[in-house]
Amino acid sequence: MRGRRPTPFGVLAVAALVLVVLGLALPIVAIVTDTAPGRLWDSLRTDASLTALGLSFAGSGIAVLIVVVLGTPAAYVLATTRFPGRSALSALLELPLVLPPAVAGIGLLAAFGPQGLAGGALDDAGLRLPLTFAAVVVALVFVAGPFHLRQAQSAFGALDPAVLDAARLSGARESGVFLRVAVPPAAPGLGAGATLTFARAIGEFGATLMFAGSLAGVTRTASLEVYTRFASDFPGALALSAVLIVVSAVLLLVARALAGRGEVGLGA
Amino acid sequence: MRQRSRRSLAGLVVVALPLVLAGCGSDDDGGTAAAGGGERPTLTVQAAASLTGALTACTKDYAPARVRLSFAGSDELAAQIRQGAGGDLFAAANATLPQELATEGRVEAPEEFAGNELVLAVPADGAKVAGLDGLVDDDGLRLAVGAPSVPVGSYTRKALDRLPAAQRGAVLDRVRTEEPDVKSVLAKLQQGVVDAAFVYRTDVQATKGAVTAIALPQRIRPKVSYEAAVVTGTKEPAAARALLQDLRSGACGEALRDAGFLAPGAAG
Repeated sequence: MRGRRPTPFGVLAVAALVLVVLGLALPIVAIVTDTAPGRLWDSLRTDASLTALGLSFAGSGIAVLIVVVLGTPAAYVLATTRFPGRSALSALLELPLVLPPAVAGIGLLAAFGPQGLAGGALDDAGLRLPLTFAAVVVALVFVAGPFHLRQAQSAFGALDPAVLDAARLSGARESGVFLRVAVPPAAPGLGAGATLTFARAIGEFGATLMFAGSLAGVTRTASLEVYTRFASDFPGALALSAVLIVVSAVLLLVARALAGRGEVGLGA
Repeated sequence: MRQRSRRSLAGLVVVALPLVLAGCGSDDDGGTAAAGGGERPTLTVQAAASLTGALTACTKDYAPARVRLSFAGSDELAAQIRQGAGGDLFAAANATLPQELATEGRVEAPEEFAGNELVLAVPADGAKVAGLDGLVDDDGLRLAVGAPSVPVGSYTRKALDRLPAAQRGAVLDRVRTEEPDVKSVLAKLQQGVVDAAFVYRTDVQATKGAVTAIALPQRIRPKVSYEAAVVTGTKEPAAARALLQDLRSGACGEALRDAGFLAPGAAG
């Protein structure tokens, strides 16, 4: 690069980079700089903020647990076996990643709402999901789960099939192959996937509002609390936003570090 | 190596392009609005969610100006105006927010343009509750209300505050969600997620029979008056003031009356 004269394209590309950085970083910088440290502490000390943050962490934690326990073996099957329609199925499972939140919310209501596909059966069983904390968790699993599925599939996909076969030939049972041979080398990728799922779950908003509603102490997570406060207490909303930014940044760094340790890149 | 860096540069441009285009788009928009000002100006109206149906209908063929409508909870719109993201006219579902903004110098003197009535809404088919008393007695009922900062939520609390403490406590116990605007409150009822909701009579009328309104006793019914104000610093003050007058007594006033809104001054 050194000594080369800048080409018109090079100049354009650098200008584009500056625009990208400004566009993406400015709102984040603004939130952090607009939040006075004293104000931050004051508004975080309020019960509403702490309760909302607690709900976010609890809901996201439970969602990640469910996603890891169910999603990891599911991703293993998807990554290591060939069957017709496999890539269509993978794409279907990734769909929530790109769905508009309102569509995700409508989908959850259409599935589990009282007039929904499975809602009638749930209702008969005395289970009413919408507007409960369980509904928050369901929304988080639906929206954020695909991050782990995707990451786990590429982690398992990067394993050498010959190693798995060798373990089988030496008499290991399929559960043993999965737990002792496949999971250890895929662990950093799995960790990255779980971390990304947690980060996305902390940020979830639209589907939660539509499916779980917004009630302090029950379903109002931190991102819903930001939205609720936006109208009545802008500095408070800013302070809580700043906390969410820090949490998300830490989670992203952890996910990147984990993904870097594995053989697969982030989102590969 | 060189090949690779070129490729990543191309990627950058692809990422940056939409940003650049988005920037141009908004500039363009401002330009045409200003340039077309002599003939047919463009007005941006920030209007309460409950006005959605009536204003959409009456502004479509509004000759003096092109009208762009942005609907949300009045409190959220007021917060946008406070942050400098104001349009030309603010039409709120109460008098408090426009008057607060006027005191802060962010809008001109507000004028009342319509009235409404707070009602208890239940499904037309299979309603589990026939009135406030039923809501007090049955602790298995689920209720949706507006958040305290949005007008419909503050009217609801005003009405409930006029009940004896025991009844008020019972009704508040049934609340399963506090929604950001009246249309989301109504949506929760229409999806069957709650059994009853506090909304405006006009919202019920807009469901064309799917939902039934139960009038509240006169002694607890709050006065619901809608006020609008021209946003300070608008580039089209004359056109904005003309539209405000149209809301009071022109074609839009008529559309509001057709949708069930009361004439200004008639609320009670």
